[in-house]
Amino acid sequence: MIAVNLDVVLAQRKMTLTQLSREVGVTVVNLSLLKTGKAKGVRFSTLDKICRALDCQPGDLLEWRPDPQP
Amino acid sequence: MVCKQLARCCKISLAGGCLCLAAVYLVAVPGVATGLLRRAPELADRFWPWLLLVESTALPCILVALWGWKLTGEIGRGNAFSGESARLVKRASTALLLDAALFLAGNVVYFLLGISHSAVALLALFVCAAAAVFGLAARALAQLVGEAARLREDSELVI
Repeated sequence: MIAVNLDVVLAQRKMTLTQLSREVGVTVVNLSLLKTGKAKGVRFSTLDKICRALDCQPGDLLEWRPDPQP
Repeated sequence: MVCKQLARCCKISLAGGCLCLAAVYLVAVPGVATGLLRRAPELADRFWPWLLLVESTALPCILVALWGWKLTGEIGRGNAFSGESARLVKRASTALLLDAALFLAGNVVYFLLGISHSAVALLALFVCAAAAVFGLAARALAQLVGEAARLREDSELVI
């Protein structure tokens, strides 16, 4: 599974989801979906805007983890 | 805005259709039946079975009209491609198919009981076939709407 570490990077940059939403132009609701792992995907254009706003690499935001054991 | 106008037009058409159906089932069918009975009193024993069979086909029509009304509401809210819309269309198709099956079964039983005529049975077969085609078309539409709803949901969850 792909885990999204948006909350970690936001904490490191001392930025809130609302601030990021304003900078990136994506609603707080959608960013929250991304943060909580409920999103089904992320467009490259959105990833580009988030990385630009947080000054980070896509690898800082996205991490592959093995699926949890049932 | 287009959705709202379309929904309004659909509601008006549906209301008109319901009025026509009411006229058919409440006025035309009993009227024709009593007229036939007056002209041919020897058919008295067939009056009530046939009237009940024909009037029983009204219930699925009422259900289809109700679900159609809900569907127009979904369309008006811009929710044409949704799971709920797919479910409503699927229910309507099931009702149409059941209606056709009920009418066909009734006709077969009446033919076997000798209270029908072969020409009537043949005509009923054609009517049921037409209803079944509409029912299957509605089922295919429900499948398409369901797939579109899944695609829309996936698309909405892509940030």
